Order: sequence, then structure tokens, then C-alpha cells
Amino acid sequence: MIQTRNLTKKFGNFTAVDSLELNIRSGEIYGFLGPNGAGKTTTILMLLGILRPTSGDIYLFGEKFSSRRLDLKQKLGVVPEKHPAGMWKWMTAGEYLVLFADLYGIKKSDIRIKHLLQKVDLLEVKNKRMKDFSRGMLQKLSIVRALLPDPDILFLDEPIAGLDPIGIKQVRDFILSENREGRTVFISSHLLSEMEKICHRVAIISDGTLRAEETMDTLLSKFSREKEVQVDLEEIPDNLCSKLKELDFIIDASRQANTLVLKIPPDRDYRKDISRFLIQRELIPLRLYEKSISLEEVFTMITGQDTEKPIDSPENNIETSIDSGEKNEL
Amino acid sequence: MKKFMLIFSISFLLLLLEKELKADVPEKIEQLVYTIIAFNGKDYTHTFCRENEETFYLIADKGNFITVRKTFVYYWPITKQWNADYDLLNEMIDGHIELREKKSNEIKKIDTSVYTYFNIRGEYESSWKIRTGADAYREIENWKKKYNDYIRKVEDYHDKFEIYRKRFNELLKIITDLQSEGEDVSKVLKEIDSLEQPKEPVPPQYYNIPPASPEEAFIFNLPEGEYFVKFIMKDGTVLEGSEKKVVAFTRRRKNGIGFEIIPGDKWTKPVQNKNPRSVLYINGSTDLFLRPFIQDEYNDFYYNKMVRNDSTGNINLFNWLKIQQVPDAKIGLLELNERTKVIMEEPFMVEQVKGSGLGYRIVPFEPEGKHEGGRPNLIAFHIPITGNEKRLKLCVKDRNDNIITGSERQIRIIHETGFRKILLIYVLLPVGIMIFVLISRRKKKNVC
Amino acid sequence: MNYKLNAIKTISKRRIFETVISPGFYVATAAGLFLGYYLLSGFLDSVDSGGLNFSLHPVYNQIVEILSGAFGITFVEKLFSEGPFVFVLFVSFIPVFLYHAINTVFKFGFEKNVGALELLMYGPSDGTCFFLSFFIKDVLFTVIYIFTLALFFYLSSVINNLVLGPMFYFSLLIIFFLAVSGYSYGILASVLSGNAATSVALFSGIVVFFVILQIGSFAITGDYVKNLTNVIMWFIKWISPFFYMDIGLSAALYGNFFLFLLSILSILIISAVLLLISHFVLKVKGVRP
Repeated sequence: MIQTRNLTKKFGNFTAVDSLELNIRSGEIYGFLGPNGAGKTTTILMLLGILRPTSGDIYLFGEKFSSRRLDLKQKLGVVPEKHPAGMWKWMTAGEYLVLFADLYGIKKSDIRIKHLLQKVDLLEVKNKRMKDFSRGMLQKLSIVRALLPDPDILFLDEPIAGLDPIGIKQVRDFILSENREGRTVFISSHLLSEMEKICHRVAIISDGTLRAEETMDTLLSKFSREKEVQVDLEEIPDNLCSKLKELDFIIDASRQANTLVLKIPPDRDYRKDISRFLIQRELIPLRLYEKSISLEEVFTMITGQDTEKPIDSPENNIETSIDSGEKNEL
Repeated sequence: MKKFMLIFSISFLLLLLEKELKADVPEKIEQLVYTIIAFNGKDYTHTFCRENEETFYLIADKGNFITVRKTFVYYWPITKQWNADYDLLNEMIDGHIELREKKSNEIKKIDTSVYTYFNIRGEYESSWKIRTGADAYREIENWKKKYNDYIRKVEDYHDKFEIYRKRFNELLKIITDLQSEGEDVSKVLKEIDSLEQPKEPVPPQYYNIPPASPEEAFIFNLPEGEYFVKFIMKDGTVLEGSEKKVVAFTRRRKNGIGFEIIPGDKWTKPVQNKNPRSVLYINGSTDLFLRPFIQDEYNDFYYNKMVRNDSTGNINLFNWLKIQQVPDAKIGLLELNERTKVIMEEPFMVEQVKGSGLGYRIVPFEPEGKHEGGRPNLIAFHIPITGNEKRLKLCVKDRNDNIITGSERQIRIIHETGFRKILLIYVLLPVGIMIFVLISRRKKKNVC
Repeated sequence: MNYKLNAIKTISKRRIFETVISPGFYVATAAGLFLGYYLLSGFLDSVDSGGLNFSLHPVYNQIVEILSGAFGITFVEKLFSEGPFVFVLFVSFIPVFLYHAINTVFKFGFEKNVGALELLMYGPSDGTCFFLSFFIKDVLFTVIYIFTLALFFYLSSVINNLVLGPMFYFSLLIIFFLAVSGYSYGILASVLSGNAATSVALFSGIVVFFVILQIGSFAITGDYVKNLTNVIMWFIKWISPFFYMDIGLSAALYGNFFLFLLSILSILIISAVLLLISHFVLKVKGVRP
């Protein structure tokens, strides 16, 4: 659906994006990740025809794309990180959407606007000025605007940044539902845990170069050397860890209070074997869960940097709260 | 003490007065000047070019008379003009002028010539003649001869008239005597009838303005363009401060028609209406007296500088300049009813209004009435204004009753009316619309 | 191209709507009309038995003194020879022209800064559509204002028995094209500078520069100022709309209609070139703040 060939952007001597080869397939949710200054925004701006590449080509739906191809732009829906400001703020949500509907040349736009506003619970505020909108409302309105022309691809730049947990869930559900309807989604975000949840494929860019472009599963398994299984027991016998270590698939075993922490190879699911071993010794696992490598860890490994979260930002807290439930329970 | 105070006060006042008087005495500076007798399109005018001025201006293809001399110049703040005091110093310098044309770089030597200029009968502005050298003296001799002949004829006329008058009186006396004696007077009457009254001689007809006494000057008759001049002294050196630029310019348009407008209540303040498309706005409180004139159009700056070298003007604009009255003119006045009324030139007398109001009043000249023996002091076209008119259209017609091009004018009579204020509604209309829009928008939002 | 035209049409419509619902245009229009009314009244008060006597009206007296001091009495005579309307037209036009031009320049810079322009670029639109929409809005409201003024002056002439005169009609035409070129300069200034404040400063600088230069070359000044302005004028007169206005009005005054049309065409060419430059500059600089 979107392909880039040798996409390069230079600002003077500085190469912001270097020979980038992206391939976004139809119907997928594509995550575009990278640390600050990696060339992420530059790439997105080139993909949207706002920045002109120094060299290389962009193909949209098989056709060569440039800023002049307004017909191709028609097929893109963009939700930028920045919210409407300036002249937009004085418009009502309805006026704002009508303007864009007219820009896209949508006929009977009022029906579509009503439908989309209803979908994001904004119909009631249609005639309110946008200057009175909260960040979450503006974000939802941006999504509605982006969806007006019924685009083939939806570009979302930091779509959940700054939203409260309910807002995040609403946006996430919305993205998933749009994708289910067949829309290709391109997301760029800092919030890796959120990306991990919804993306089918991700690309990681660092120093202007593409480091990885894989499906989520492939990427995670590619980068995990061992898995961790934690087992909660009523009581842990003293020699249990040494016995477990004797098993050929146990790399390491340790205990933390009444929890066994086992390191196992990532090649297959060993949870059945572990259960059987414990039950044979009349130890009943109260809870057994496997913790695989996170996208964040993969990202850190690839880029050699920690994620871009500001330490004291509200997003950081939100992410932590989401991370706490980020486990595949058995 | 009182005496002291009085002396002190008087001394102080005198001191102040002295300062004031001194302030009025302009400082005179010795300078090398070019004196210029320039043809201004109608007449000859005199000006001079100071050392501080780099350029002087002349009408192209006309004779102008230039001299180079030393004199004192001073600035007169009252008129804001520079003047020359030739009585204090008037030193002509011997030498010649070297003139270089800017375009071709062609250099010409100009020597002084003896000249005279005069105006002969005919179209005034184009009837100026210049004679130089021996011709100048001949012309003056010619004029003198004509003038002396005329004077002789006048004297002769006076002598003959005296003889005629005497004989006439004698014959009258004889008739009276004969009649008192009851005798026949027919013989004497016959003689009276046969008495020929001498004819008054006519002044020389050839000259409008006779030639002046001969003078010596450099005669500049230059084609249109820019030139550089310098004065070369007898020893071949360039006279310091004598290098100047000369601009020879020409009129852009000619034979326009302008009007001198004299309002009936302000005959001392005539105004000129020169632009062919212009409209004359008046309040209609008094009649108008018009004097149409022929005008030529010159560059405002060049012309002003030509007339007075220390004046100024706008180089980007052209101005109409009065040349002469329109001869044998008539004015056609088109009124609202589209009927054209022809107005002829008439003589008028300007009378001072008696009483506390003072001012002037223009009345028709009555040679056989109250103005007998007097001469009219205004000859003009009388446009009566009743105050009820809104507009008048006029034009100047020549002796063949043809409208002279560019002479049409409109007169609009502006009446003081309170109706004017109605326009304020229009002015405030946008504010009304604004209020309406803002209110309706607010209402719409409230409804939503 | 259809998308572009649609984008221009849509954004222009919005701009026009914004102008209609905001008080600025109405206030500027009322201010312009009021100036016109005041100056017309002053002119009427200056008419006496023999013609115009500006000393009867203190403000006119000052204006005429300033104008004749700067440009000579011949200028004043010509300016008022047909009546007051040429002068009043130019003065009354200033508030609305400045309102539109500065409003556009400021808004352009501001909206570019806050990303409003970028937002449009995500849709089927580009920077050129954005500035052309401003341009179209300004041109449209200028036409509306000129019609409003013309109607006002027509009514004034009927009520007060004044003549509009041919120079007034020529001035009406030329003032419109002058404004068009002014808006084009405004757009170029906005495109060239980084934010709203510098855009306004740059635009004001350009306008003031051209005005001073035109006054300098037209006014009666000392030789030094005259020579200096003439030298600068020689270089920049080709890009100054006032230069062509001067030619156009002189041509109209002397009945040279071909030259008049040529001067209007020249102003139009300047405007087109300025918009073209803006288009390319925006293309190179991009729409991001």
C-alpha cells in the first residue's frame, strides 16, 4: 500500500533519513517507532507530502507520490500530534468538519459527520466552539476529521499521548474497529506497550536508518533468548530449585517468597512440563504465568536507547499502570 | 527713582528695537550671477542664477538674454526670495560663454551681442522680435523715426487745430453779430461748413511694445535639451563658479482655455480655473465675472524656475499658464433647460460699498450716466447667479461662433443643506449590519 | 487541478465567512466611510462665492497646506480640480486596505505558526491554496468595499450637487489594482518571514518604503533627497505599484487610455509575479513553522 524506495532526506550535511525502505501492507496496523531525533517525524512528513525527499521515491497504492498528488492525498486520513489551533479554535466542531468535508469534496457530508461524531460520542458538542474542547475531545475530533473522506490509510501520530486511561481505551478500540473494517492504520507513538497491543507489524528506525520491520510476533521472538515463567505455590520446599535445575529445559531457577522464578528457552511452551513436574511432587501451582520479552525491551536492544518517555510526564504514569497488567495469564 | 526707571525702560526698549531692526537687515553677499531675461511664453521676465543654484531654465527655440556679472545678493525673508542689489555692485565680466550640449557633446562658443527686443501687432505671444548688432540700432532708429514722425504730426495737428479753432470761433462771432443786426448769415455758414477740421494723427501701428534701448548680452536660443555652460574670461581661463547646467524646455500642450473668475463680492480676489476638466464649485451668493484666456501647458518645476530661479515647483506635474485673453470671444451659457444664452464681454465699474459692511460691488459701466468721463475698470463676461440654479455649463466661442476646444466648464452651485447629514445613515450602516450579524450568530449558537 | 480548485474554493469560502461574522471588516468599512463623509463635508464647507477656499475649514486648510508644501500648489489644484472625490477616495480606502492586508499577513503568520496551515496540507490542499484563499477573500472584500464607497460617493454627489468626474472613475479602477498588489506583497511577506509579528513588520516595512520613495520622488524636496530617491527609484520603481499608479493616473489625466491600461496590466503582472514567488518560496521552505 505504501512503499518507500531509498527514501533519503538531508538537511545540509545532516542526513535525517537514510535510504529508508518501508513497506506498509494493506489492512494492517503498522507501528512506526524510533527514539527522538531518529527521523520518525521527517519520514512521516515525507510520506504525507509535506516535506520533499532529497532522494528516493514514495509509492502510494502503486503510484508515485508527491505533494502535488492531491488525488492520492485524498486517500490519506491524518491525525497529527498537534491539535487544531489558530483559526480552527474559533470554529464549532461542525463548521470544522464541514470545511474538511468540502475540501475532500464529500457529498451529503452532514450524514457522514453525524455518523462519525456519534461513533466517538461527540455529536452533542457539534455546535460548540473547539476552543472549549478538552484534549481528548480534540483528539477524537481529529480522528473524525481524518476519517471523513473514508481514507484507505489512517495516519496517527501519537494518538494517545496525553489522554486519560478511558480516552486511551476509547481511541484504541476505535483504531481496532477501524482496522477491522479494513482500514490500514499507520501509527507512530512513544507508547510502546500500547503499540505492542494493537500493531500487527512494526518498524523501528534509529539514526535515520531502518533497524527492523517485522510482524510483532517475529520481532519479539527474534529478540528473546529466554522466557521467564513464574509459579505461585502455597509452600516451596528447600531443594525444589536445585531439582528444577536438573531438568534439561530449565536454564535457571530461583525463588522469591512463595513464587518460583524459572528461566526457560523461548523455542516452545514449557508450562505443561513445569506443571507436570510440580504436581508429581504434590505441589499445586496456584498461579502459573509466562512473561515474554516486551516491545520496549526489544526497542531498547535495537536502538541501544531507553524509550522516549519523559520520567515525570502523565503518560509515563499511564504507561506504568498499563504495564502492570501486561501479562499473558494462563 | 521714577526718572531712572523711565530712562531704563526707554533704553531697554531701544535695545530691543535695535535688535529687531538689525534682524530685518539682510546680509548681502558678493556673488557671480547669471542674469537672465527669459521669454516666459508670453512676455520677457527677469531673474538671476546665484552661485548656489546649479541650473537655470529657458524656453526652447526662443531668444533669451544672459549676462554674467558680479553683484550682491541677499535673502529677503518676507517674500522668501533672493534678490540682487545691482545698485551696490554691477560688474559685467568680459569674455565668452562655452556651451556644451549634453546629448551630442557639441561645444559652441557664444559671444555677447548688442540686442533689442520688441513686440509687433498681431498674436501677442508670437509677435516678439529680436534684433542684434546693427539691426538692433536700425530697429531702434526706425522706431524713433516713426515715433518722431508721429510726434511731429501731433504737433502739426495741434497747430492746425488751433488755427481751425480760432477761425471757427471768429466765424461764430461774425454770425452772432450779423444776426443781431438782422443781416444774412448764409455766406458765413457756408464758410463754417467748408472749414475742415484737422485729423488727429494715429500713433505708430507697427509696434505693440517698442524696442528698448540696446543692451549687450549672450543670446541663448536653444533647441530643447540639456546643456552645460561655463564662462571663459579674456585670458582663456574658466571663471570660477561660472559652470552651470541649462535646461531648455518647451510647452507640452498649447491653446488651452482657462478662466479668470471674479466673484461679485470679492473682485480683489480673482481665482483661476485652468484645468480643462475642472468643475467650478461656488456657493451661489453672488454673480460671477469671467475672463477667458488662452493658456499653454509647461512643466511646473521648469517654468517656475525659469520665471524665478530661486523658486520651486513639482517636476512631475504640468501646469497651464495664462498667455493672453481670448480675442473676440463670446461665452455660451447652457442652462438646465438646455437653452444656450450667449454672453458678450461688457464694461463694468467696481464701486466701493458704503456703510459698515464695506467691500466692493461690480456695476455696469454707464458712459453717459453716472460714470461719464470715467473709464471702466473691469471688462468681463457677466454670469448672473440667482442662487436657484444647481448647475450651469459654459463654453467659449470664437468670432465664428465655434466652441473653442477645451473651453467647456461646469459650474456647480453648492447650497448649504441639512440633507447632507442623511449620509450618516449610510456611514453607520456597516455597524448596523455588524450588530445584526453578531446577534444572529449568538442566537443561532444558543438555539444549537 | 480539480482538487486544488476545490481546496481554494472551500478555504476561500471559509475565510469569507470568517470575515462576514467578525466585526473587523464592518468597523474598518464604517471608519473608511466616516472619513469619506467628514472630508466631503469639509470640502462642501470650503466652497465660497468664487470657488474653493480651504481656509474656511481648519482640517482642509491643514491638509492643503501639507499637500502644497510637499507636492506644490499645482498638485493641489489638479487634485481638487474635478471635485473632492479623488482625494477622498484615496483617504477612505486606506482603513479597509490596511485592515485586510494586515489581518491577512498576521493571520497567515499566526496560523502557519500554530500548525493550521500544516493541518490543511494533510488534506487535499497545499500552501498555495492556503494563501490564495486569503488573497481571494481580500480581493472580494475590496471589490465590495469599492462598490460601497462608489455608491456612497454617488449618493453624496447627488445630494450635494457634486461631480464625480472621470478621474474618480480612473482612480476607482487603479485603487483596486493597487490593493491587489498590496495583498500580494502581504502574502510574500508572510511566506518569507517566520511568524506573525515579523510578517506584519516586513509587510509594513515594504509598504512604508514604497510610500516614502514615491513621496520622495514626487514631492518638492531638496536636490540631495531628490537625487537619492531618484537613484533608488531607478532600481526599484519596476516593483513598486505606486510607480505604475502614478503613470496610470497621469495617463488618465492626459487622456492616454492605452498607457492607463498598460499601467494596470503592469500592476497585475507584479501581483502575479509576487504570488508565483510566494508559491515557490513556500514550496522550498515548507509549511511547518
